[in-house]
Amino acid sequence: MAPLLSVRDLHTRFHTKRGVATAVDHVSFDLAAGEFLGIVGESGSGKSVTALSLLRLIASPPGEIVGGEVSFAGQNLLALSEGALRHIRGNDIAMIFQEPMTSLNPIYTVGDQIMESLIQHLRLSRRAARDRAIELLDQVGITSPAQRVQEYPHQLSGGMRQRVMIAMAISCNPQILIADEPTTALDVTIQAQILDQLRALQQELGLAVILITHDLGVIAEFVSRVLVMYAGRVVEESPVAPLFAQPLHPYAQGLLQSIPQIDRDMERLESIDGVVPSPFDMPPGCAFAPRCRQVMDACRVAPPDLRAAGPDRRAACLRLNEPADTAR
Amino acid sequence: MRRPLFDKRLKMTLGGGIVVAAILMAIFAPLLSPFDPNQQDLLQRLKPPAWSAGAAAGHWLGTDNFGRDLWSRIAFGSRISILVGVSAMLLAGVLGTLLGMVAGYKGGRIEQVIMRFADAQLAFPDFLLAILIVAAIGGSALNLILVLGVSGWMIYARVTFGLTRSLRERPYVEAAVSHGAWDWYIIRRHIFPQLVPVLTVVSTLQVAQMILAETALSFLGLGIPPPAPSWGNMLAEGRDRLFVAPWIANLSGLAIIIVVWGINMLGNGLREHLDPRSGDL
Amino acid sequence: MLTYITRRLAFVPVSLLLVSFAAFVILRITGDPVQIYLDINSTPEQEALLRGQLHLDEPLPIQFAIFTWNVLHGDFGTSLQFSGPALTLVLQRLGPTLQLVSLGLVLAVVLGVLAGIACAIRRDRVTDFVLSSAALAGQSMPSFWLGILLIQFFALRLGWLPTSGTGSVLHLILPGITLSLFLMPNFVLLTRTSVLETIGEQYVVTARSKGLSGARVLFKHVLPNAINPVLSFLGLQIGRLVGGSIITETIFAWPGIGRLMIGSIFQRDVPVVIAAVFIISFAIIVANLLVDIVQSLVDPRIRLG
Repeated sequence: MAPLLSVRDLHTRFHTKRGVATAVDHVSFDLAAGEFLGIVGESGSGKSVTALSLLRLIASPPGEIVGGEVSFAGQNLLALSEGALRHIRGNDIAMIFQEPMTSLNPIYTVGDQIMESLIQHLRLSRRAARDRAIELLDQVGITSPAQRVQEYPHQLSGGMRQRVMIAMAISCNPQILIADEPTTALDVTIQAQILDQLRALQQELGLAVILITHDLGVIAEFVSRVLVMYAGRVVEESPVAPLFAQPLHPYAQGLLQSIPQIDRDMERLESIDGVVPSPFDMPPGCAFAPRCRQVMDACRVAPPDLRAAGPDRRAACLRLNEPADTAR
Repeated sequence: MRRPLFDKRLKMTLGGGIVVAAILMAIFAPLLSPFDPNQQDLLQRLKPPAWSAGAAAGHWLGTDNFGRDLWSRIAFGSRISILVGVSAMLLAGVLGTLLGMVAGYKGGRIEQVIMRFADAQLAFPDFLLAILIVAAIGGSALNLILVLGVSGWMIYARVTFGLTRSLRERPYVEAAVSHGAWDWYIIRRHIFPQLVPVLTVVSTLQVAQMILAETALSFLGLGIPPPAPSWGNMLAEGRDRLFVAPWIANLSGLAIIIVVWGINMLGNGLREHLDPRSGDL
Repeated sequence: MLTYITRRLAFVPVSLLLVSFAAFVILRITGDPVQIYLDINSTPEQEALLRGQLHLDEPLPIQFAIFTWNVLHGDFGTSLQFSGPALTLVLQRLGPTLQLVSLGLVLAVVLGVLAGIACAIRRDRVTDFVLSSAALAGQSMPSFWLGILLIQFFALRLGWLPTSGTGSVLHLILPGITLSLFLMPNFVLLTRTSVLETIGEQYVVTARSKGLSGARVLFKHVLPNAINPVLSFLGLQIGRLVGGSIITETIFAWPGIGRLMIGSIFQRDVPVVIAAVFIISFAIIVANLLVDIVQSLVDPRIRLG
């Protein structure tokens, strides 16, 4: 079966005063209908920029999508006209963001902001849109939705605002929901509630979800398949169980060694030496080479491509072909 | 990323060049002027500048209604504008910085009194206040400096207050306090030096504002009384002779805008240099 | 909403009392009122009589109380240069001043905000460079020279408009333009900065992710948020507006309060000066109140917070 969304060689960079920074470097992956896909990586790994690039939401300037293809429903989203793309944004593919505090417009009621999508895409009347907005708030677990619908974002808690964002995102029955670190800014207890809500909706509505996070605990619990990103590239792609059982890429191995402290953010990894290379000063070969304990001379020549390694698994490491015990 | 046509280096060079030229003009006004700025020559009244028909020899920028040499008056006029502008800025700066630092450092009731007073005065038009005070005490260079200084201290107080309050919370300041260092020592040693970059920018831009206010007061007849050669006075005199001698008003207006623009350019360049974030805007 | 306005209204008397105090101080430092009211040939008896009439023999706090009491009843005294109460004279000039100020302000805000938006959405392009540079140069322009240049060009050279004075709509055009050009540069630069900052907000990305058109994102999500700093700034600009209109009225011999006040200063007509200051202050207080109300209508955080 053809994938619902297919990304090929996505390449995004930023033009800054310090020079040109490549944020997303030839990223490719597929998303099947109804799949729960995770993208994991440290901050600066390019996972959020990947998400924003799919719908061409990168601020330009300074951002620029240099090349690649994002195929959805037989169209390349990167080549569509702005007008045609607008019919897909919020309608077929919706997004929620990291900061529920700032991702709602402070001067409109939450009802108005949900109704905006409904009126835009489904051509509902204001009255019908309002009724639907109340239903949606109820569906995402907000109590007394008829009253909340006329409140302003600053009157709601962070968790409730993120629920409002979810209600807004599912309002037009999209096929894909992209959630960019949806719980990072929230308390731990609220995080679990929001993610449970997302999973319930995903199953109920048959949504395909791309969940972007730096939290391996979340990955282990919620997603079925994972992309591991490092320095703008996908370094490993795998169903979640085999990844946790036997990570293939040395970076993924390092990531998982930090797992015992499961509740800790992996914004900085102590089990891997060194730091992420500056996007202005990328090594010519594998970006992980300077930190890799198994580095070879060939690693410093050119960045390795993703290659197949077992059922549904791919990794970008030259040591893949060696026997598993020496690769460790 | 596209580089702005006016980047900070160009701004500082251009603005700084104009400012230096204006200061040199003020210092060497007697050497630059072929005539006494107040010397009347009724036979040479309302002569146009050298590039127009009917110009008088020696008066390359022409003469005014009393036959006084315009170039000499503009050169001497720079003395008044720069003297009043810089001194008023210094007065406002010293007053505002001191009050702002005290308010930010001490907090509590002192802060309330000083900052509410600043707010109240900010709500009242400073130019109207200046008009009223000058009207009451009379116009002279000293009075103008006093009036403009007193009506312009609030911006310094606001800026200094905010910065001082945040610096006050820094660990090294709190450490100094806990070691029993004197307040004045801490302010002089740990707080004031941090304010210098911001104060430099604000002060530069304030000189431009002060010069504009001084020329405006002079234009209204509330500045330094004639026959002193001040640019505002000259513009006011030129306004009454627009039909026959437009150059009087235009040359003095040009002098004002060049100097004020130069100072503003220098100030904006300095701001971008000292606070790189603002350069994005 | 109503409580918010009531709360703000409660401050009006306090502000007016402050202005009254300031006016009283200015009145006293201006010199001995008796010397101002009477000419040089007055007799000591006349002086004593006037001193009693003006309550100058009372202690200062009582004098201030009497002054405030009179002011509250609209009694600023009689004009020295014209016959009639000072307040009436000033109120007669209120109309022309309001015409000038409203034209200048509306032009400055509307054109300034539009230019600022144009700069922001064409950032670092030619439009932005030209408009921003013009605004920066405009900030250095002395308003009185600007008015004089306009007179030279439109009145003297082209002969399209009258040089000064009053009588027809045409007379209002040059003063209105002068005042608006004096105020405009700040609005251009501030709007530009504010719009650029708002465009970077997360909720703008949200709005775009919902599939809204560029124009809708700009007009519904960016501008209403970007306009709030501009409105706050409008409140602060009222002081500049007063200064600008005094100068503009003087250049164009426009019969407004500012010109009356400057003329009265030269005639030492203290009652008229005080009445003018009082009316101007009152207008500033009302204007600030209006700005606050508009701001609270735009931003629910102010209204409900």
